[in-house]
Amino acid sequence: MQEPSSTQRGGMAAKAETKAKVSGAKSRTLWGDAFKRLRKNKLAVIAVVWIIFVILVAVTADLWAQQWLGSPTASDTTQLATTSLLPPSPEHPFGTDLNGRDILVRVIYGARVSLTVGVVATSISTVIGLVMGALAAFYGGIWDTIIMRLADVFLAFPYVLFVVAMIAALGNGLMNVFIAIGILGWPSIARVFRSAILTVKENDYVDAARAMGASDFRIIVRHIFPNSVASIVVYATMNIGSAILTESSLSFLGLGVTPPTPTWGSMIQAGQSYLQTAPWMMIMPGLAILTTVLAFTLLGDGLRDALDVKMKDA
Amino acid sequence: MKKNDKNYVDLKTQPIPEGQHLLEVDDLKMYFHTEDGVVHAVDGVSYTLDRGETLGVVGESGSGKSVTHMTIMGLIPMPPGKIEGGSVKYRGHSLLDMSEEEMQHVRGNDIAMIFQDPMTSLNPVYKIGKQVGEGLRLHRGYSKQEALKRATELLDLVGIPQPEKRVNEYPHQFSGGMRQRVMIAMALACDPDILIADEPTTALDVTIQAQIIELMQEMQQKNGNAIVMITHDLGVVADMADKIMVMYAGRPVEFGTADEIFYESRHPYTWGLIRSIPEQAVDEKKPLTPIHGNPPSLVNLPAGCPFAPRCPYAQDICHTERPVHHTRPSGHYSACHFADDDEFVKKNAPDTSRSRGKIATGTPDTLDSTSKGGEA
Amino acid sequence: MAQSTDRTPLLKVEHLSKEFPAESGVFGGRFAKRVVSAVNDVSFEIYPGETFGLVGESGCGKSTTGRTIMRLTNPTSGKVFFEGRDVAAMNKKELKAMRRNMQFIFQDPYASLNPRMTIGEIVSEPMTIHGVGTKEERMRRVRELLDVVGLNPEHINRYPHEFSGGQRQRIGIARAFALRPKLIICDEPVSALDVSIQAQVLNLLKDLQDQFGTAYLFIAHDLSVVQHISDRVAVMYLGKMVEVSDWRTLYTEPHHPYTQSLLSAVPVPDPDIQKTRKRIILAGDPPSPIDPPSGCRFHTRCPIAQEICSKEQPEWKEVADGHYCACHFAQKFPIKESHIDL
Repeated sequence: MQEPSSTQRGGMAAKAETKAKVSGAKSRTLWGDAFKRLRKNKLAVIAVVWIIFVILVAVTADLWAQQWLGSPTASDTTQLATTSLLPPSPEHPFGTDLNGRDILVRVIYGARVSLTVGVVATSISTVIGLVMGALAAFYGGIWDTIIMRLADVFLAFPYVLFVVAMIAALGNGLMNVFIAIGILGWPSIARVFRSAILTVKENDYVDAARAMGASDFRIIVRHIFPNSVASIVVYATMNIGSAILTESSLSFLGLGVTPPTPTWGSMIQAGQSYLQTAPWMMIMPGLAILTTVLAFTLLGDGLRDALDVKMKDA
Repeated sequence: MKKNDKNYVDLKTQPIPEGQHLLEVDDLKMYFHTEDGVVHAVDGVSYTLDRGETLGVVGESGSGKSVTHMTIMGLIPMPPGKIEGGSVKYRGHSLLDMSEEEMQHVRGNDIAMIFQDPMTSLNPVYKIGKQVGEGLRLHRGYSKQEALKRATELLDLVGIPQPEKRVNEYPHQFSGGMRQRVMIAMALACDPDILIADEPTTALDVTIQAQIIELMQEMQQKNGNAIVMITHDLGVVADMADKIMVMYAGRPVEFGTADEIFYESRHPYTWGLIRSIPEQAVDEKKPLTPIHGNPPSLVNLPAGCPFAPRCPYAQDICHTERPVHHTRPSGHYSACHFADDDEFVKKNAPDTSRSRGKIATGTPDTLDSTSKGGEA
Repeated sequence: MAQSTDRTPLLKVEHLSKEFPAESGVFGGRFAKRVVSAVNDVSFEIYPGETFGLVGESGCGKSTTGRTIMRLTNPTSGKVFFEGRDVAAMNKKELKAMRRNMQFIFQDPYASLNPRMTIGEIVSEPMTIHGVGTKEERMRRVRELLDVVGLNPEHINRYPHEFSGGQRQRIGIARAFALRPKLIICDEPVSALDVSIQAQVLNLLKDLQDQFGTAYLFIAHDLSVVQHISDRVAVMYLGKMVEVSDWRTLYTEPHHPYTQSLLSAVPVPDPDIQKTRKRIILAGDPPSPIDPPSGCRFHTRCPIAQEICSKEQPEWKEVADGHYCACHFAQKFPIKESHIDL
């Protein structure tokens, strides 16, 4: 009956059809399907490989990095004349900084800060966002109005300025970075989750569950949550990237994590005066930020495509 | 001969070559090439159509009835689509060989199309008058004022009250039935030779459907155009069609006059469709005889007859050999190995009001006696 | 099955009305002055084991009626008695108990099954919710049910997107029958399906009814389908019920001009009949349910409307045994030749 559209989607419909054939007697889960689709997406696979690589390197750094490249923080001030600002070489693949410290090892230890901030801050935002979004969507009415208007107010502030102000108020330190970025990230998550829930709520299977006599709790846990969580997975993945970016901006400004702990932002900040003479000081941490944030964004994109169930095509 | 600013000759003003029909579709094949395989979306469609005639194209979703006509109109993106064979001749001109630019002159001007969903077929940001007049400006070189004036006349023609006021309104201010009237006005603006209507009444309520069908018939009488009515509703084709093509899995399984299809059908799929429809019974309700199973995937079509897996009469040959069109002298063809077997057809074809020798439905009979002239 | 000997109604709907706010503003429409009168003063009964058809065009309130009975939405006024107990007044616990015996089949076979649950989970869910049997017993019952509705019980671990529209509707039917309810509200259960599949599903519903003695409230816009499946049929127009009778009488002796127009507008799949029969084509569109017409709601399109029709609401009267009609001029085939003005 919907022929014109099925025509345009001819290819897609056909794809779904062959899939149904191929599946044979074996059953497939939606997440399993999504994983298969994700594996077909080359960019997403590269992103996953990169993210896993960065995580592995950061986690295991204590086991090998210092023996090979020296301490990321301490510097031997007596040797500076021969160790300072060395260009990339087999001995120092990313070169050295003003204090003679190896930049690669600093980038590796910087990854720890960035990844932790990305994951922890996003987790905080996600938890707050999920609760707020769910409250707004389920209770509606005055709850919805209050929560969503509050979210609007949060979103109306210039984001970085808001974070800077919070850090200024809370003081420096990794924990405060988590809190600042985490708290300020909830409104977008809440919005995404709320609209996902409202869309899912419209589906007949929610009414079907009510008609069966299912409790609200069961409807939320069994029907609404599993179907709205995909959008949050996607959004949270991308949010990790932007949290990393925010942390880098903060440390670039000299806020948040304090020296000598290496962070990518502070490394760029330190390198900016030597852009002409020692460009690697800025380029290497810059590349680290770029590739990692890009990887999270690409993964998020890939997840979105993979999780997007075209139910009507089946 | 009318010419527009590009010196383009309207095909509809040219004579139909001796011995040919207005539209001749012959063994048309169009496949989609996808990464998962070849979709046999249109697989050997043949029919002819003359002015003033109505062809009903019947089939279930995915049977290729719409795609066939999108292909004829050159509206299928290629790739993934690809013409694999056959020809489409309109007044002796091959539509498949025309350039996109030439086709743009044909579309809307010589052959117009209306779609199922009148909401998405109209652009919500333009006024109705502008949209109805657009074809005239494009194909006929009308000025803005002329086009608007003609649009008003057209709205009046299709029965929209207060057309002077309504040309200046937007689509969302129209009801579903009124929007479909606007679509018909748009399609008829350039006085096309052929009107292809793709499920034009499916989204409408039955009382509104009756209005739209009546309007299409009225317009056809006035303009003499041919209509291709694509629908899944056998009632609608029984109401409108002179000829009927029944499609299944991208292939026409039967083609003939309305009488031939409804009363002398020689294909088990057509029988199955007729038996699936609840009759308006007056005495006892007869159980429905559904067609078992589901339509096949167009990628992995069964060898032989595509209907064989669901056909209650299928023999070995049906699963191995693709049936050819068994054509009768009248032009009625059936793609069934046993179509020429009178015994088989007689034994298995469904009862019809004709074979029973009486018109068996109660309501219309009785209605007749009390409401003569009720027809508009 | 057809005419029940047990004349205690299973479901009794009395003066049911449902209004929605016409606009949803900043305050969620709670202060909206204009309302959509979706269902207005509808009354009927359904007896055990019978099929009651509810037919009408889109926006006539037939689906809202079904949803209100199930209390998927609360009625604005009126009462719904299921087995003698008022559904509208039930608390959560009573409602849950009631829903064991009243189930719902939805129109859209794509939207009505949770894509993240397996067929086994979907069909067993009503049993899970009501704590029927152990897990093994439930799964055994699911296999039985799948078999009964014509699906392969081996597919118990598959997901809905692996099935076609017709098969999904069978899954929905299996779920509705899981608890062997006494009443199933079927909201356009076949209108999204192709004709050949539609016939399969209609036959299945009929077979299951014969087997389990379930009553159906069968809501649809397709008159031939409704006639085929129903014992009694009600016609709705713009939130009002205009006529009720047994299926044969309704189709052979319609007393309401709307019923008659509706019947005559359905194209019959038989060219001979289609050529000879006369159609009544109603002018215009159905009016908006916001500010419905005064008096009889059909008077703006009615070919035989008189002055009284725009002023007074027609009475709901019994014109023959069990045949009710709301028209000032209710009679057999009310639309006569002289009244048709087109």
